[in-house]
Amino acid sequence: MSYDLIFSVGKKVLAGESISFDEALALTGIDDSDIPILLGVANKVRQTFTGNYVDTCEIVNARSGNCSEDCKFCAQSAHHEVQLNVYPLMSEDEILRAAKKAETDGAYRFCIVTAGCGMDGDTDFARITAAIERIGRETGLNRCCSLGLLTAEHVAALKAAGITRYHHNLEASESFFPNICTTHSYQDRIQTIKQIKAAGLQVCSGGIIGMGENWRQRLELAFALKELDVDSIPVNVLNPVAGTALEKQSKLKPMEILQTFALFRLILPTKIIRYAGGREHALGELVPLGFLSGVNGMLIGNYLTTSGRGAADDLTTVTGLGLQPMCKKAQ
Amino acid sequence: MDCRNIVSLGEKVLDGYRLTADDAAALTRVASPDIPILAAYANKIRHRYTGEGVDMCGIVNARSGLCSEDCKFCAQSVHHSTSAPVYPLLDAGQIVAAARKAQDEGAKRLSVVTSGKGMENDPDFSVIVTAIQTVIAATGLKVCANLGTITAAQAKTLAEAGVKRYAHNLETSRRHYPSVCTSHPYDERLATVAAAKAAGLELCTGGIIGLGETWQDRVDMALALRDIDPESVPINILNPIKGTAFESLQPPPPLEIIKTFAILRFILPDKIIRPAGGREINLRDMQGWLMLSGANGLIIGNYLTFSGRDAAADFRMVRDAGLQPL
Repeated sequence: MSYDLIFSVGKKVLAGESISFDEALALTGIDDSDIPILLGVANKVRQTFTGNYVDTCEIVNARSGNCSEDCKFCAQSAHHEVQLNVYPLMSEDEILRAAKKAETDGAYRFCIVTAGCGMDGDTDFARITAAIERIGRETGLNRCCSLGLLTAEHVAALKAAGITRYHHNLEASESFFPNICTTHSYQDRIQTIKQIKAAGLQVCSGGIIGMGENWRQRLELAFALKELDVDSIPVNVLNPVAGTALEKQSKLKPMEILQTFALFRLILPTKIIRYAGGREHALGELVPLGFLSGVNGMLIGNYLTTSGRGAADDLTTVTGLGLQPMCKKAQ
Repeated sequence: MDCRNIVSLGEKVLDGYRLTADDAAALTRVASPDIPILAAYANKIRHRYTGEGVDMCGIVNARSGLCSEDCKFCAQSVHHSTSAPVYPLLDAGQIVAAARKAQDEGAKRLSVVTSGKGMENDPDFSVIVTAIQTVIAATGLKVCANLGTITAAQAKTLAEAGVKRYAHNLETSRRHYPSVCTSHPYDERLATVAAAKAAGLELCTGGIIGLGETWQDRVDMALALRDIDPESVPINILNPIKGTAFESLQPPPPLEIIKTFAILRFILPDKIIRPAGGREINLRDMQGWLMLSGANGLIIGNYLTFSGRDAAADFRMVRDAGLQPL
């Protein structure tokens, strides 16, 4: 019976052992009616290893669109014809305003995100570090950024500016990556993550599900993140944007999405597994169940190019479930 | 009770075991971190005994307000000053129009509800029977009636008119009942339920949680319902209406509501357990989880004296949970 497997794997993970790839793969084939049991076991693992805190992060899209890369899901790629608000780097004051809003919303972290392949030869970089420093002076937020591929010099400069964590997704497994991006490689991404880690910064790295990958590839992504020992794993659910190459991609079933979160929790028991973009669109009223299926972090407010439902609603949901949002205000 | 016990008891229920009162009481002591496992087992029991169908029922408040009874939660009692609508019996045309609206929203079942203690000596009774026959002929909906206390003869009349199911709640446990209603006794409710059953009508009999009852009261109500053996068990969650005696009661928090439904599913493995009024206000966006915690029915559209939400949202929620609206 499939729930014998759920419980035997659950016990193993609760005892501090690792789930094997084959065990995780077997758990992708359980009966639909057993999925809530898997979710309950993942919840128990989440509670045991990370307690009742939910990490909250708000982002600002500080530079939007015109990206040279061809990531097939992305509304900001120059390869796609998308209705998008395209703008150059925001002024320092604008970025600070976004940070202050995040703090008011109750965010624990604030992440500055810029469109583009990376910072190599990018004249905006110095302005971004200045903004990071200013946010450090004028708010109590933990500061993160997501600026694409970096060199070791950039990493050192960001660390000096006060960044505690850098965000850089793998997006997908190594085997699926060529299907979603051809302008840079999976190894380029791994390289940036390794540089971040080498500098002693924390890493926020995850991906997107629902891009046409199979279960095996989804699990490969989770195991790759485990191998890299990243601190926070944002999991986006594809919200197909008109004009992108994936605009016609069919939706995942909500229960399969929750099953994915639960498996990520079993594979990565001690990490922050973070709800990111697309959750409202994909899960509807099952969003709260994610917080009882292994999720212990979330982006709040808006995403890069799509709207969230508002920080207050998400925080109400979390507290209604008996969980505790991490936020500066509460400390 | 910890996870291991939940699992072993859940397994027994899946194998046909009938919960004892002690088992049920032990389930009420499940701690918050284990509620998801309890809910998941309730979901498994729901799946095993009832499949993936979710019974969607619309209601029409065919006569509103001015009820002689003093049920402390009720906006329609004359003992309370509320802003609930007051109107005499709708005519057959209005009831048919309401039925068509429910049908358009996707309901396959409609309950015709009237305020008042019951139908003994009520001249509206024959008008209602005719209206119900008109609704059945005009819409083909399965029609239920919820008319308060009825006599054995009236039950027979309703069955002959084509009514499928009679809705009459216990509201709460026998022990707690006097704290909820003093103008008619619990046994009178049991008598009506028995009369409906004797006439061959199915039963839709449940209650309300959040009336100040204890966990033991909830278990006792569930065990009483198991003895009655209704097809459908509607469970309301108190929506404290201003002007009622219970206006200041604090309804149970979401996790406690989920836990209650899960325990009900353990006790009543094969029934339609139907979240009813108060689910939106009390569960908010956690209603989706409720559909995976043992529930397999819904009241859709509006309730008696307050609004529900768009029925389309309920259909989407049910499908998102991997279930099938009936």
